[in-house]
Amino acid sequence: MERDRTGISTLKVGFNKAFGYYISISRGKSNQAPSDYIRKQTLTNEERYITPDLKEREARIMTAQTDLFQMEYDLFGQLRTEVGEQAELIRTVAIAVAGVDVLTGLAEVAIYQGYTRPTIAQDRSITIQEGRHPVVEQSLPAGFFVPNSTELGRGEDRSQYKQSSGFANSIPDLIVLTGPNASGKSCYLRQVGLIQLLAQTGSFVPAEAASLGVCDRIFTRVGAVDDLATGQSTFMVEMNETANILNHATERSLVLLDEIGRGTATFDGLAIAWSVAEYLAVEIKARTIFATHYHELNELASLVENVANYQVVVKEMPDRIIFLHQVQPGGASRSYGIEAGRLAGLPPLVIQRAKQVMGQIEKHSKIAVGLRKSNQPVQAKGKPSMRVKEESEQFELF
Amino acid sequence: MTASIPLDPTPYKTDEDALTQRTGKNAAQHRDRATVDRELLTPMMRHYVETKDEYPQALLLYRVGDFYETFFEDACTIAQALELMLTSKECGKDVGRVTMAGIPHHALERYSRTLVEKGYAIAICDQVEDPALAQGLVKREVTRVITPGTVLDEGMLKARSNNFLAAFVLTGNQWGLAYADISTGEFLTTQSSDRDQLIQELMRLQPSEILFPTDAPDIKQLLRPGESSPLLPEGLPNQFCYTLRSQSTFDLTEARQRILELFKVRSLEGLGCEHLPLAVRAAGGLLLYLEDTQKSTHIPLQPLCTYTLSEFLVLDHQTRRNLEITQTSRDGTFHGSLLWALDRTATAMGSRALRRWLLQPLLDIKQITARQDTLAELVQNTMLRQQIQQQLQHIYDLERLAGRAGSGTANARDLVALAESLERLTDLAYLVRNGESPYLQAIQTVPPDLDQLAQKLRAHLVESPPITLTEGNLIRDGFMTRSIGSDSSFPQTNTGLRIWNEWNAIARVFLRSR
Repeated sequence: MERDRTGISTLKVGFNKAFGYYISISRGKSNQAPSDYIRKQTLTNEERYITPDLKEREARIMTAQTDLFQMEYDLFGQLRTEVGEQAELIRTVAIAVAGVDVLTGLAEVAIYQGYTRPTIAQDRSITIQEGRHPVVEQSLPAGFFVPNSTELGRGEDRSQYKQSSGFANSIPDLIVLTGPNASGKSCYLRQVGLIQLLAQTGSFVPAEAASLGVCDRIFTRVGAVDDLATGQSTFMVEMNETANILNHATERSLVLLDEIGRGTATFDGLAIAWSVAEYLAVEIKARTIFATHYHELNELASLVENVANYQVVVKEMPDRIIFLHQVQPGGASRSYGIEAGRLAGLPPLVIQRAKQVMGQIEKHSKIAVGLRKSNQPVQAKGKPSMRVKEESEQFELF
Repeated sequence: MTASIPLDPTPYKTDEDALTQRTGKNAAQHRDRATVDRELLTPMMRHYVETKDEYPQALLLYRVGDFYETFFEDACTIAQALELMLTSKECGKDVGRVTMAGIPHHALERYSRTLVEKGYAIAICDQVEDPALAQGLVKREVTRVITPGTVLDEGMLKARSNNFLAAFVLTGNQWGLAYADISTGEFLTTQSSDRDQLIQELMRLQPSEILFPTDAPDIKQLLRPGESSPLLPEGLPNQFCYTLRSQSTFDLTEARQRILELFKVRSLEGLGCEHLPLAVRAAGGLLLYLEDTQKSTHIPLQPLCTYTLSEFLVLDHQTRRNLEITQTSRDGTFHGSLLWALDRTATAMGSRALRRWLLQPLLDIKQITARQDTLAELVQNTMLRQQIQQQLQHIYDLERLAGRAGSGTANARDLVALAESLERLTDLAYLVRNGESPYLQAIQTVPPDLDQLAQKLRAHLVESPPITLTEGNLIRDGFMTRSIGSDSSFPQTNTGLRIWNEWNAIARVFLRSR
């Protein structure tokens, strides 16, 4: 009608957000616009107009539209409520799906990282063949991680069949692990803990084979980090945590201790380390790996039946040591601390003197000898005598 | 508060100087609402102060025009926390200027997130009537209280970890602990008798907020992480956000009643906590807090689940830290943790579940074997495993989507995502139909109700709806006309028709010759 009225064939109706419906006429024909058209906007190629009639119709459309939006919203609200009423069921299903998701992911890891299904046993065994640290191995190039085995947990129920296989008495409850700093003691410790944890999560484990008894609790005491926030000294934190372990561990626990006693004077530290290890092995019989740089602790194995010595071996070259990251039976004869100092660039004179002092200490050390003579590995009686000996040593030295 | 307290000219020497420098001659004369005579305040400010009195523990964001404003002490707090300009506002002829800091209304979510992350609770006071129609002062009400443990907005949550709200009751060494993630609906409670275990549980959960009852008079208090208070029971770590509640909110009788009503059960026996009064009190106190903070929003929770600590391998906090389960011990990063090395999950739900599993390894050989058997089946069947993963890729966070639908905050896209995910469940069920292991068998059938729900959502909702719910384009055209035709409850039966007619009229009038 309007097209007929105006005779403008290019007349169009458009809509925009700024002023709603409008009539658009191309620039060439714009002079033909009727007088009741109100110009609203001028563009390069066209003029835009409104008319009262158009606006009135627009208002009607708008109300209708608002109603329509409201209706859609109401309908949507109903749907949403219906969904909300099923929330519990949806979530129950979601939890089941999440379980499958976790296990599918773990299956991927198991395949790509070469994990194995561990045997979960009721006994106290922790037998890991060629175990690996699940995180460290992923941050190293493939094949670089040196796997290590673990055997822990002597038990009556196992002794018989182990006896037949010939190494019943060699399975210790407590391993004293020695080796130089940075040789991988901590990594090995954590590896055993993580494998046990993974097994009880239901995951496969990074090892060639594993048989693991269910653990009631895993304890760790690793490294010496100052708890600056609470203002406690390294040593007090260490002792608090150690006390907690000794008070709560059972023969079904796995205890991983790293460098107990490092936070205090040498002989204090050694004395505490010794008695803690002895208590864990003799009184609690917890499965324990006790990493230490006190190679004097190796003597414990000759005094307590369920203790064995392991070491992280290094290869000694004429001018340096190579870390092999291999854990083997036997105690480390020395701690390589002086060697490490030399590698770090301590002046030759200092190194030389350190070696002299070391020689003196070794010559006069009677710690273990003393304990063996007293022939009483029970901690309560052994400790005081040990103390006396150490103190006399100190006088000899300085 | 009855008489105007004369202002100390320099109560905060250095602060005041800085403030004067920044605000020049308009320096604020009040920065503490306790120091003003309320009778002299403008009506709006009087309402503000009264509202603030009800929410002393929260920062009150008060809608004024296009801004959410804060005044007095809150203004100082948010100016500092959000690095905003602290200004001032004239609040009554005889009162003078009070400190003010505000955020534009469109930036509310972003700033709220920052505040909540910093351990503040916020109360949002909105205009609840159209200012254009209001007679006199616009009516305002607190519509939402957001605390660190009661966050629901998607943008404020981490997809791959839970956001726990915890509540404990301690009598001597006996304690009850309840915790919930209101975004996923998990709701659990336990009771035990060794205080150290309570601390270990809190350390495991890393709750965003912890509630506990106290006798202290100033109970509406919130302790932000790192703040110490004599009210905090001895030994509890102060790295968490604690909300102090009155003893009465943890009343046993009321708690019991609240749980029975919420889960529509006649006794607590079925929930496993009938004989665990402290666990019940903790759970009831938590529920009441949700009512207090969520106002009219209903939060759907899963039925309360009672657990015992002895079901799980005990890992204390030191051990979790030393074994670097969820973060490295050196610098606390996720990268390099056990979770990082093992997480190949496809969904956020799976990722949260893996975290839960690693923090709570099992003791029961049967349960362990059930997982191992499923794992073995998935390892052996490569095709199945890959197909499952493909399906999982398309499943959204069902736990949180269901929660948003239940609390009425889901938008149309959420429901479309939910429908799509539910449909995938059917595909998934078909995929694992021959599965023999327990976890696969658990998803072999999709409840028919959910199947129907998915179909209904699909039939009603357009494929890619807009985020806004008030501008149409949500519901399929075909369905609109059908529902208009069949459902007389819609008064606007002919709306669609009316629009159509008007359009035709315009076309007729203006474009007839076409």
